[in-house]
Amino acid sequence: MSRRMMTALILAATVLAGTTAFEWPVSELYPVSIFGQKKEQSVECGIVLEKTELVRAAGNGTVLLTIDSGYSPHGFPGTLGNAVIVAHDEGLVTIYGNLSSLDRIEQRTTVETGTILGEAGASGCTREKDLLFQVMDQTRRLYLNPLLLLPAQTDTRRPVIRKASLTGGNGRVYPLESTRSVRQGKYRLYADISDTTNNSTNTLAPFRVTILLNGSEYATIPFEIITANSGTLQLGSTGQDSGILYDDKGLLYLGEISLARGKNDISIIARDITGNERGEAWSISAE
Amino acid sequence: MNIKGNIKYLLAGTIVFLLVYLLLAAIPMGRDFYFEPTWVRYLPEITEEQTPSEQPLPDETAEPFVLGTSFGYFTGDGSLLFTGATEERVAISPLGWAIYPHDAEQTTITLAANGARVLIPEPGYVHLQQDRIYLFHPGGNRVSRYDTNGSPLWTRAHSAPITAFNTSPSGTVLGYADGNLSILDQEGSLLSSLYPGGSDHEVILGAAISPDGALVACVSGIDRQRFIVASRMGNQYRIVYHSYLDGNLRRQAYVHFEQSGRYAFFETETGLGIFDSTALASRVLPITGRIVATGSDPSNTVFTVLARMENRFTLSVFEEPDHLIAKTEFTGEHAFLRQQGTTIYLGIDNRISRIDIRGYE
Repeated sequence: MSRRMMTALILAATVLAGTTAFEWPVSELYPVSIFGQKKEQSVECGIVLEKTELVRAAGNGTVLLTIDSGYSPHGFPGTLGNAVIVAHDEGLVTIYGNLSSLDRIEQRTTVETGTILGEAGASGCTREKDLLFQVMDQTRRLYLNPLLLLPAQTDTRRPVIRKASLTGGNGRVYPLESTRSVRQGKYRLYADISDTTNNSTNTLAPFRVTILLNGSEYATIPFEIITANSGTLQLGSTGQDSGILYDDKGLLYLGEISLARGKNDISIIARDITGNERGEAWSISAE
Repeated sequence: MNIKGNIKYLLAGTIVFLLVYLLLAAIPMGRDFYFEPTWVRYLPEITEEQTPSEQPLPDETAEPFVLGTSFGYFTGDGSLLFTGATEERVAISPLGWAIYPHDAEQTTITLAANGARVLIPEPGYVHLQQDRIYLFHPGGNRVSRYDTNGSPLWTRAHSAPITAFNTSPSGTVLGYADGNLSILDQEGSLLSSLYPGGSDHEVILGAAISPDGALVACVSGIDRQRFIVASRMGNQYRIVYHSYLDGNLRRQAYVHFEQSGRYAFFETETGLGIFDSTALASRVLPITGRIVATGSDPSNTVFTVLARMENRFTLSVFEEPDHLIAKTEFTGEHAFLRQQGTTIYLGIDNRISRIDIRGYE
């Protein structure tokens, strides 16, 4: 069974059951970076929540490992800072980084949903009071988008699609907003796609982006899983190195698109985790 | 009976018996080790942030140190060089030093040899090991190696946080929270990727690579925890030894190869394990507390171990294989241990001491 199908099954089972695998690890939700979002030369593999205080276990589980930023064998500095790694059922593992200390968890071997693990601090490579939260599927050896497994939040804001453009083989950029015709051939499609939530104006990544060419689905970029391949990370089933998922300006690379002679209708549909959707369409003729 | 006449025979017989006994029953005497304090240096009291001067390091053998907020270099004859102080994070090795905040956007390394500066222009935490520069990227699952011009040599990412890391001139070993153990050559190319398994929960708690890269050791798993050794065979590593450990450490574990590569030290919940690669056997010494450092001399005659339990440190000295010959305790906030041959350097809070082990040269 393909990974994509497995993820879809988990999601479907979760929705049908009306339950989620985990509870939010913090009480106030201010996401500053979410799964698949550009992060320097790579992508975010979890969620970063800002302005957090108490951090709680997202589910029942076994404490797998605590990472003490003040003590590292051979001195290697882990950027999660003080961190707790908890193993749950079904091979799921949750990771909580940037804690102020490990005092509350040091003597524990198991946790229940809501067990206080600590407080967000300034021990990791992020801002003070940020919580770094990641979910790993140990059985399938990948990162899962935590939003798939956490209770949905009320959110009515739709994603935004801007600066869509085609880049030709010679590096020339054709903004879709103002370009009416190009030569037929292959182009790299880019766009600035972002989302906000009702309680945060931080710019976040979408959950799914679909590209339609002349009304047919051409490609889909699902922000569901991140896998490792040959020392690089790949988002979803795109097989695409996360290092090139975004360009230097932060535009999302949507894939290579082939424009045939004549009129070409290009549509980009962006969706967030709660189902808010926005679509933009352009017509361009290829000569 | 002529007792008087027999006394001389009895006396002579006794003397002969004693001589024969002394010759035949003699066993080699144990070596009488003793410890000779050579010098103690107190670190200058620095109340404000102070970076070391950018003078070339006059002694290439100078040892780097970090003690709480103080850092710098010292030499075998007791000279303190370039001491500095900072509340920020410090990376230091014979190559140079760097100071950076917890949310470092970029980091400048000052080379000890000539005071030249090297900019690492990416966010993350710089780690210096001997002449090698590494950057651990935000998110916990990506590491890069840089050259001394600040150019990246290689980057490696994985779908789990890094939980163990060790390098030697021959390569690098990385352990991850999903139980993966990856071994890279000097160029960062993957030689082996193993999942030791054998436990209910997979995780690598600590790992080390021998100086010649021939062996890799790790502590892995929860329920049951295991110690694993893999040996390089061509371009692959194969597991050649494993042992189940008592109890479960649920924190990062100390794993370290001594300089000859024959012995590996590894931390367990019940003490410090010592693995002998020639005998393919291990034993656990009952040391309590968290292992801070171990040391050994080139002939592997004497091992030193520094362990910590809260603010109490224990320095133990073992004669190979596991005979405890000395043990001392002290309190402090920060401490380090270095052993170079028969010389021990012990740092405690605001002072560094040199102690020479005598009695077995």
